[in-house]
Amino acid sequence: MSDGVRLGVFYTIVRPEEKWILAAAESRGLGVVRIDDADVTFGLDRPDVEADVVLNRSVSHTRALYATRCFAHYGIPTVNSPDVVELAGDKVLASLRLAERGVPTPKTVVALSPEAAMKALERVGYPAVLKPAVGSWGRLMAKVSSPEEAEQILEHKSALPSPVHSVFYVQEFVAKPDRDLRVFVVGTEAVAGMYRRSSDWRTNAARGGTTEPLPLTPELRELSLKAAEAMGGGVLAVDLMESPTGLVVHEVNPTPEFKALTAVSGADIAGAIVDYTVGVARR
Amino acid sequence: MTQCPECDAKVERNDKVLGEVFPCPDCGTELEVFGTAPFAVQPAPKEAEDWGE
Repeated sequence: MSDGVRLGVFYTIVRPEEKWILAAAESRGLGVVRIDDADVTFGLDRPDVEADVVLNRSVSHTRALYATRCFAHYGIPTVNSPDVVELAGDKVLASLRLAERGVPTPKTVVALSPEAAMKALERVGYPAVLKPAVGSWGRLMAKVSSPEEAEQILEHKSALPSPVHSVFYVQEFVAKPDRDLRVFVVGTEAVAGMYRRSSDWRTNAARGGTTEPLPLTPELRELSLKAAEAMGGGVLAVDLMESPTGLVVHEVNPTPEFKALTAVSGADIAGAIVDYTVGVARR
Repeated sequence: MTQCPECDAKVERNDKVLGEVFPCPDCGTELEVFGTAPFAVQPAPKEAEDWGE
């Protein structure tokens, strides 16, 4: 089944997900090339990496962005592709694309200065959610309930050194049950789903929320595949909320974790990712 | 077997692989395997602003 495919795994740290991917590759007889994102170098002329395809598992959006471009330069396909990493890894670009493709998504307004962010909050209405454009795990997200609170939070964000904090991504606070939904898409298949529940308004599993199996209804499958396709397709985790007007997609993650999802669904997600990646190498 | 660089507790390799991140069984510090023969660990990289899914 492997046909001598050499699978590059580009990573920052090895978590259970990466261990399962390495084990799945080994069990399929693939040659595995481990590529540490803090150690690799990229020349302009020829690949320093001998792989037929590279699976990106770097948790750093910046490293993933440049590395996938470099691999593409060498003619080595990546999962996900550089365009997908760029688009889905940036909430602003991802929201624009979801809207362009008619995928229901929460009301979102972007601002590029603290003053404009106040206007954006007025447009969205209180309470609203302020998110960093890049990064996840619920880090630096804020629920903003009033203009007074907004001024304090914006002043704090403006004092942060990175220019990325001067991009203000303001989203409506969706009145939803205390859970959100995650559907894991590999290629053209929705392979597993779960509810994530938390007493905190952020339901990220990384923040300690609990999980439950999510039956994949035709509506969920269709919407998740549409969202994944809007990003360019590949291995993507689609996060959805149950808004009063129906399901909305609020994020599509290009380097998704799946430890909790594997436990709750029993699906062999690592195997599905490896098989899909080998398929990309053969295209 | 090696020792946690933070608290000197004994840390066993078991089935850990190169690059694997795990908490020290004693003090909970996140550690990273940076050598397997011999087994060696160091504090895991700190989470950066652009880390995520």
